[in-house]
Amino acid sequence: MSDELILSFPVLKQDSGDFVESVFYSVDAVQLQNNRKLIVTHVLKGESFISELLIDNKAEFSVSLFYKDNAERQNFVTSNYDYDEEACEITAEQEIDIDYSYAPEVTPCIVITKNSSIVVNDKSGLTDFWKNEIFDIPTYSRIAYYSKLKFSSGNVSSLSHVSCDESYPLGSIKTTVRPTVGEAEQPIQIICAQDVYDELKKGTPNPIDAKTAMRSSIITQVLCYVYGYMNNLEDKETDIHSGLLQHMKELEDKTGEDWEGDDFNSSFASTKMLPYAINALNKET
Amino acid sequence: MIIYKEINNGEWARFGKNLLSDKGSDKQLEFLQSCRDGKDAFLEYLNQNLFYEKDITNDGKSVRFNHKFTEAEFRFPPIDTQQIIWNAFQGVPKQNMGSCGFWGNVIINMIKHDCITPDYLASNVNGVNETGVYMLDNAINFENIKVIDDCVRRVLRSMGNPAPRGKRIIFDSFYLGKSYWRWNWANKMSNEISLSFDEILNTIDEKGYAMFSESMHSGKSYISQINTLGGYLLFLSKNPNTKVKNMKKIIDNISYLSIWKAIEIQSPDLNQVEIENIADNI
Repeated sequence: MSDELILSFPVLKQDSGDFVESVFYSVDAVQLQNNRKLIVTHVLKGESFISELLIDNKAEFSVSLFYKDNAERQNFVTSNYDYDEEACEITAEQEIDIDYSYAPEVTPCIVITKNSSIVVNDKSGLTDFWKNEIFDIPTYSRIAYYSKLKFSSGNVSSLSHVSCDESYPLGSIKTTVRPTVGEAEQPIQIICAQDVYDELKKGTPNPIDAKTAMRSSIITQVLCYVYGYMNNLEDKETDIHSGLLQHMKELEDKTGEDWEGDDFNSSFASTKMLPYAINALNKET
Repeated sequence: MIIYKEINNGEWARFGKNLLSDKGSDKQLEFLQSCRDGKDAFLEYLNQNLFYEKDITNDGKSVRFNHKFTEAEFRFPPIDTQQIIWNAFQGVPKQNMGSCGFWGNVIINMIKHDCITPDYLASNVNGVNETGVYMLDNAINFENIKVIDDCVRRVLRSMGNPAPRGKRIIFDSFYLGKSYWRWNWANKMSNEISLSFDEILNTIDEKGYAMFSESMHSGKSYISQINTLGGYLLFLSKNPNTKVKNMKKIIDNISYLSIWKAIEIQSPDLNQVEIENIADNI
């Protein structure tokens, strides 16, 4: 199914050329580990006809959840938002109960709720191509997309659990994985020697120097190793939980490495991407 | 929250795949023979080849039937048996109900407690004389590779094993699962739209459900959203003679439409109108 449709009105999405660069829509989602809640935060920045429609209550933020293994789709909309006029930024937060032990696919968008007619002006946030155009947007049209959410926040706490085994030789890490288990059940168990565990416990929100980058890269290496192994399973669609499979594909794309065959080096692959921050491990909120 | 007993899904899939890895092999024949030899032999086979480690299943509650199934009602549950199946799983989380490992444990329990006999698993009762015993004898005695493999696949399917057709088997071709999920949709949607439980069951009959279920577990899963499905059911209820091929086209078009239009937040009544427009143009 392609989302490349020619519509008579401009739609805000990543890499589309209709809007000026100052206008963009981003969404982040964090799954809280203990109480099965998903916090989805929408942010619309810049002056645009979309922000005007939201302020005029003619548009709403929407998020669709898809629990793939049960083919269950749920949808949540909200018209509650905070508007920072100075920064020209609209922020909406949705707190959603998770019905399954695995994280759903999350697809956010902004939707028109009343038929609207737009006359493009300097405040519409559109490129010159649309100058002075008049366009009608029918009710329930999607006017801003954000692609399926990724683990962009670096919060991998729902994927992995770190523990210490004092009997391990210094510097060693053992990883076990249960491929059929979903994210929230922490399918990846990382057991470390005391020194590695102590190092990981120090954490760092974002790598700022060689030392913190090295700490962060440990978890990224583990994930690359685990997914590299899982990628070679014969029947991935059946053997690997859909949530893990999705994350695995994202990680593979990020590294840009060929994960097939014996030549795959997980340590090398992990250097090809920004490492996951360690402070996210086992975060409890 | 009650934890329900499941076979580890990875082990359950591996068990099935291992059996299917060599068509017509002694391994397949041994499996079918244990099925033919009855409860004790079959359970012993599973103990040796599936439950060889203690953590193959989790510690949890098992669901038990207080009902002895006939072979025909296991294969094609009539309405009163569908009710028994539905009642048995009230309160079980949906996540378990969509798990092959959960259903595998249910079936093995049914054999343990004499609700079914292992030969039912091979049954192909569809108006001809293809009982489980007949199918097993046919496979074991005639030594035709394809017949043996087909029979192994049928037994695995009847146990909710994902190896022959993947995880979606629970929703569309595993007898008990298919019955449960059809009722589940009818129950869920009767709380959302103006049709009653029975009306929805009639609307999504065997053929209609098969089409709907196949779409739900494919790239056209958009149909499973409540408001969208609500509109679809309202349309089918008013147009009961809609052909299956047209149902498929309608679901295809709903998926295309949903790319730019958020029909998932549009009411079922408005979606019914939307679908009528689609149907008029196919």
